[in-house]
Amino acid sequence: MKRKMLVTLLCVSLTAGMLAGCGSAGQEAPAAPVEEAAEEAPAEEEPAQETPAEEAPAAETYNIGYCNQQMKEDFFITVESAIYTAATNAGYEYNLAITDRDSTKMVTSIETLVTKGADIIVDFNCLPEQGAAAGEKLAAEGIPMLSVDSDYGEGVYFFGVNNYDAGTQLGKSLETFVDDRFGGEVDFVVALWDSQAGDVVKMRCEGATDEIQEKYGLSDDQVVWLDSMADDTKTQSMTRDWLDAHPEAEHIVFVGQNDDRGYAINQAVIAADRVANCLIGSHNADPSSVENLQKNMDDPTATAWVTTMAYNSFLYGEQIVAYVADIMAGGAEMQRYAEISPLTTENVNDYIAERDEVQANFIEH
Amino acid sequence: MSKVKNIFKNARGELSALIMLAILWIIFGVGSPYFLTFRNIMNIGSYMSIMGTLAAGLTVAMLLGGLDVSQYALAALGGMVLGVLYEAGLNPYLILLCVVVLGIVGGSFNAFIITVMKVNPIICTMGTSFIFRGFAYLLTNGRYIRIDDPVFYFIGNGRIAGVPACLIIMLITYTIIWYVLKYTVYGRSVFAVGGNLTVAKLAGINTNRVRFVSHILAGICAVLGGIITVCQASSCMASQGYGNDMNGISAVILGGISMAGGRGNVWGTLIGVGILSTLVNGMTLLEVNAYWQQIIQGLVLVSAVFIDAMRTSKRS
Repeated sequence: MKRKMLVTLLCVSLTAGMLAGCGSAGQEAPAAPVEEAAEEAPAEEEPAQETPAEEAPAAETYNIGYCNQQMKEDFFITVESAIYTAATNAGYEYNLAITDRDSTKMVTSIETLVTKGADIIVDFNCLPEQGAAAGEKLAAEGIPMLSVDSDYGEGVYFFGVNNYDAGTQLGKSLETFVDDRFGGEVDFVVALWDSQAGDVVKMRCEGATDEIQEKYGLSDDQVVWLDSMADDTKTQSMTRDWLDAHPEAEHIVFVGQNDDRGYAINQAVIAADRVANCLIGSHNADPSSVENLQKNMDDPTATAWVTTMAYNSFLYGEQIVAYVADIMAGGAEMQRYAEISPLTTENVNDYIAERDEVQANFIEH
Repeated sequence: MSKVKNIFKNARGELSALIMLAILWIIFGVGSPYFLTFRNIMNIGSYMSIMGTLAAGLTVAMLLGGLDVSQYALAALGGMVLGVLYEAGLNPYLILLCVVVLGIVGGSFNAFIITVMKVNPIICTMGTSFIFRGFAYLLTNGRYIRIDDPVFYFIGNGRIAGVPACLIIMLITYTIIWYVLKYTVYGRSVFAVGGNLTVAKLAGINTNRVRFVSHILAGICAVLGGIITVCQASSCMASQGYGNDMNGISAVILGGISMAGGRGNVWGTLIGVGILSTLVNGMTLLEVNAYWQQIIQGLVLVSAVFIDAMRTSKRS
């Protein structure tokens, strides 16, 4: 009997809660004011209602809704910490949603962030088609959207890198090693990419393979594409299998879509005892690649993993938050690019010094 | 009074799920001022419409005592077919019809392997999930397709009296499944076959036909989920739903459907879907650490299976 009473009570409370929620939708305006605010667009007005009247610079406080695709890889973790730190230092409200790079989760996460009063949505899902649609919906509500590292097209602000250009730079960096170590000869270029990350991110590999193919006049048969499906073990076994199937190849250039792929390729190359036959380049300058370069500073030929593209993810936060301020103030350009540079044993120490200095000031959360 | 008593007794699984949902709503309602807003409740509704539609079909398959882990892959394939046909310029209603036909074909394919080739349902659907996903990638070589059509937009984002159209589609699906299971000969056969296959056979039920139809229903629900997914995101991608296969199963178990089959109610599944969708939404609102979110979702799944095991052992 007691149990039934409890059930009834909980059901009543649930119903009451729902009714209260529905009824209070309009009264929640200061906390979740999107619908009304949308028509007037100036997002600065919303936070002003939440700030005490005596604090004058209320108009410069924004609510940033950050939609991150994952928190599993170092790059995304760093960018998130960097944005959180920069937003906190700027006195902005910050809310985070993780989507697992699922387009429907992206839609609902953005909606949740808007419900929490976001003045701007910063999206790092790298889903251009879905992002464009989300951008249109947000625009209808007067909320700007800023995409990171993947251009969502007209009406959506963009910050980050041009993936193809980043690939081209990686290719150029690899070419210096091809000339030094392989005497300018290339038998194969093997790209380990991840189909789930989409076409935009794939361009990081395409830029590199195109650059190397063109410079050394390689045929299409000499350019190999292996889909790792974002799986480290698969990357390692695929690379090992490919190396075993090509014992005659002596000048192989591997391009990894990111450093996780680069690390797995490197492990496979070491396991296959083919370090002398291979060169590896990848993207992100994650700790794995940076440590590898650092470890081999005394003897750079000891490693096949010779270069990684540094996107300076630790600087994303400051740059993005500054861009947000410009967007909200009005008149900001639609695209802003991050600085990138290839890392090798030559410049890795300078990079580490700068990175550690910035990351030491990250706020834990 | 005895009638009420019977309702409580028969719906014990759903009741415990409802209590769990109510507790979650109270926790998140107290924890976040945004949770109980109309906008957020409708957001939860939109989100649950995809998992809900998929789980409705899964319920039928699980009532028979079999698991179907190919649902999300078939949904992705349905979504990609929708995209390809949209690019080809077909009429949107014709496209929807084609996708539903694909669901029937996909469900029949599963059913054929399970009933005719006598392959274990989990193994079969694991295999077909790779096949469906592979075809989904193959259709466009992994390329995404942007969908910009008012009909599809309405399905994913439209509102009827403030309620998301996709939520209404899901509720209609549940009502149909509930009606079919409760008031048709086929529906009663599902419970009979799931409860005891041998007895069902001895009673003269064509068990293969029942299982065949159930997998077709599951296939239709899968592609409906795929349609809603594409319409919500206004684009289709072959990797859609990748890794989410256990979510639907968790929802069904949470809702009181026995993994052994033969017991449960489709409305229980709806509550299970509500629990999982509420968890995702509430944890985002409360900004629960991303890693904790994974742990909590895992714990919910383990609890669901544990509850099911408890129920089964109690009954036996």
